[in-house]
Amino acid sequence: MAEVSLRQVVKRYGGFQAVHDFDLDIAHEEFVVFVGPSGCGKSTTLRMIAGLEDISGGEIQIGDRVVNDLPPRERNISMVFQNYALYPHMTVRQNQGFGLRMAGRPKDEIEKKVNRASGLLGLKDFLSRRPAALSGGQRQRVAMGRAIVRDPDVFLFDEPLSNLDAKLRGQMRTEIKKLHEKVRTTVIYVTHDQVEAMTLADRIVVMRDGRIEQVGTPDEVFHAPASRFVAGFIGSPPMNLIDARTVASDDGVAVSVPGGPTLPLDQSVFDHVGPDRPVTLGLRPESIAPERMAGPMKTPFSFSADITLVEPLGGEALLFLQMGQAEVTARVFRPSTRLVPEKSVPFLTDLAEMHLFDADTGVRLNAKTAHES
Amino acid sequence: MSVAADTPAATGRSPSRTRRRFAAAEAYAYLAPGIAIVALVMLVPLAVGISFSFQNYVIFRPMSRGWNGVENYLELWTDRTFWLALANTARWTFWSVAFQLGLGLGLALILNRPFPGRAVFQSLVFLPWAVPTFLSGLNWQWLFNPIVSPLPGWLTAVGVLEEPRNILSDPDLALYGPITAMIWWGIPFFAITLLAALRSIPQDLYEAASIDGASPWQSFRHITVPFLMPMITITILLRTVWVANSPDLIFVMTEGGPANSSQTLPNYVFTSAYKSMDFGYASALATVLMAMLVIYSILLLFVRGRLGQ
Repeated sequence: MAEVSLRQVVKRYGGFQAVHDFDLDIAHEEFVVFVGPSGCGKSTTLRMIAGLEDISGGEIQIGDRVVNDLPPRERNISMVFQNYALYPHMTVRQNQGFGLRMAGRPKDEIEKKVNRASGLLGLKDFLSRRPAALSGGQRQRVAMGRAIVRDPDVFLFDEPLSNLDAKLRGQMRTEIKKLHEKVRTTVIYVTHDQVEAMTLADRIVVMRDGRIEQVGTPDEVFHAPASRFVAGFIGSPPMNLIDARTVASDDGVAVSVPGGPTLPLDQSVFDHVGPDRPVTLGLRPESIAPERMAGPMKTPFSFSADITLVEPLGGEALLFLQMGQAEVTARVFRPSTRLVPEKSVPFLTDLAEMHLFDADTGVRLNAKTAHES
Repeated sequence: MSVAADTPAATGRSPSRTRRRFAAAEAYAYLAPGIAIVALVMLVPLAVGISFSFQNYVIFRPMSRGWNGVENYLELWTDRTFWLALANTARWTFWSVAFQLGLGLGLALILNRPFPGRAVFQSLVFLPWAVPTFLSGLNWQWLFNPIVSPLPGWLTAVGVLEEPRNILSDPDLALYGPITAMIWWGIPFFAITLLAALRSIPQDLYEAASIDGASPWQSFRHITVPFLMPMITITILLRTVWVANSPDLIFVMTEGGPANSSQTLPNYVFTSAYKSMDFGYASALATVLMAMLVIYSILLLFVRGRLGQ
């Protein structure tokens, strides 16, 4: 059993504060992903949990022990590093068994556990090779094997896939997910890749400038981003964020895009938003489509825009359109006809999937919806 | 496939063979100047030196010069000073290199950790290496002199000596004077090379090891030492040959005395050649020393090869 709790954890380097009052409770066997741009403090937080960095304030608890002052070797954790950190002078077998050997476990136990881990990871044929004779993906597997063999309370992954090429990264991502199904353990996984975060996580922690922006399931952070930053970070292609202004209209308040359409606001969701307020309008590329190929929408709203560029991707296409002064991306699945740049095309967007953020603070303005809890 | 079979080699024509031969010759032509220089400055003097060892060649007696077969080597076999010098060379080299390695490694490990003033300390540590051996020999000679230096008094105070006296004039201890000077002078060389090797060890291996549950000692034993081993063997090899061949500190501090008690082979070679003026005998001594160092080097390189597997 290993829950991990962080209470008011702070990291300072001299005068620079890298992590601010980090609070998080991670459940037993939960897969939590820290995601954010480089320099957001996600790796630092992970390294503090591992004990590779001292904490400047707060408290870290693993299981029922406060581990603030314990060295890494007493925390019963495993870590997979970005560049694998395999011992180059040892074989795959020795690399995996290193931790158990250091703990002075009997030979046959080490043998058994290494064999089991190697079986799980498909490493049986490489056991007597050195890391130098392995490919990047194989090395990453050995690093994971080394982590599994020790039966740790918590697995820590520090950007484990960023040294691999795109295809291999996809494969390994799937393998990590399968592995977590087989070896149920608490996992904390750091990445800057939002796709990894979305596909792997039970819960995502989006970080920025040493602070947590949002904690939630992949569904929550995608459908109800807590801030403009999260909205722009999660999702690919990213959400369209359009500078706009609220205006008074016949039936309440509407959002006016400069030089473009004015979208009515659903008063049940935005009853606290008054007129004449600068806001950021957020529309997912998936919720915009040309009228003639739009799917079913809850609250369709039609407007006209110029298609300036088309990027066909086979099963889908990205359209770049001019919505007033803003350039907006639309993502169309299985376009039924060939799309080309043209003027004044009728478009539909779903007002039920509209996001609104405060222009200054970036805070989400939508009232609580079904996606939020 | 018929196109592939129609190559010159398959049809038995010869131009490719001559061209190959020419290409090989061309490589040797490029190498020739280098080989010529090496031969001129190394191989020829070496051959001349070895040929001296089979001659009766004493500068005072030019008339009696001539080949005398292995006579010099037979003389050497019965020469008590030779055996003493050989034993002293082994002692001198072993203790010097062992302490240089131990202390140099310790120093490198200390300098590898950050601490305030490390840059200054580091340059100070490497200072002895910059001092000419001749000067450091003189300095250490004074340091062992009880009249001008407190060192013999301190050695007495900690119980190493029973009274403050000059160990350089004690036949049983004289060699340890130059050994001390050699250790002091040679530590920086080990420290520099081992520090460079330490810095090349990726830091995340230590992090991985600490997470794997390794204690600091286990990290040192299973990561630092294996990484340093190739550098350690090559440095020991270099330093052994270097120390074994170097007469200067002993010459400055004791001149091999008192009564040959601190005589090593290089010193004995020097004394035979330039004091007794017996070039033949000196060459025989030098040849024996060289042969032993060559065998030692081969053994060490063999061990290193085994370690690398």
